[in-house]
Amino acid sequence: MKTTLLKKTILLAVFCLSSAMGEDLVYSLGMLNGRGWVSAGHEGKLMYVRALNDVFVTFKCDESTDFWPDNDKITIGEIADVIDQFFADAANRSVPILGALSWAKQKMSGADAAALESLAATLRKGSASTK
Amino acid sequence: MKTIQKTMLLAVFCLSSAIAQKPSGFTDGHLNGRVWVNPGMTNALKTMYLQGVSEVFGSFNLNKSDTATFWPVHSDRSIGEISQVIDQFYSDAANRGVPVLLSLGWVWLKFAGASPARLGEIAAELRKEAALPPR
Repeated sequence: MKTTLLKKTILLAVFCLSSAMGEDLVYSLGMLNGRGWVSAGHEGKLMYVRALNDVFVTFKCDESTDFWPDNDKITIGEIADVIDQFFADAANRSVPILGALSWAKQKMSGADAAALESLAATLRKGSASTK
Repeated sequence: MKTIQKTMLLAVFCLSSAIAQKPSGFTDGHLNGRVWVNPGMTNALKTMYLQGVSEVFGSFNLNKSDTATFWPVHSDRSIGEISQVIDQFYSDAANRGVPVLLSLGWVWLKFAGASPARLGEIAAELRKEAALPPR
């Protein structure tokens, strides 16, 4: 009887631990990261980028020039596609989506491959040691 | 004669299409309540939207002094709770032209315990703002 109870308790603890770890894995620096992005589905991705658009356009922000395309002709779907490209490299998936957005902005602005790789490396480094 | 008939038919078709056109899911380029209440807008999608809003408010110094009215960064409210109160806001169909982002002004007042009269006033202001021509 005691053994069964002990087994159940251990199983419950393992379940709770694995659930907690699973939750943590999709966040870096307190923000949703590439693992969250790739599991969000197409509509979820569009909804996330739509939210960024709504806030940046409504509230404006000096820093947003490094993150948000200043070209009105770029669509939400196109931005999501470029973020997809960033997270296609599994090594980038611990980077927060907002970090990937800065990479997407550079890519859409015509940055060369070396500059993009350098930025990706910086973003990976910045998100590697933190949750 | 046939040309006139065709032109008139085309005009009637265009007019009826314009009249039958559903109100947009966007107000001044922003997602509004018509999309929020759409059955296709699942809880997962609502969460993704609010997650994005939350992360921008938490990460950037936005150029407006009243951003805390829309998203107090240090609040302990979960995205699920916020989402449910937005649902309440849009349960009044008259509010559905209001952008989701602006509905947050109402949401935080409700969390703060504002009276129904005050909430009604804010909703009316938001409806009025949403009805303005695009900027």
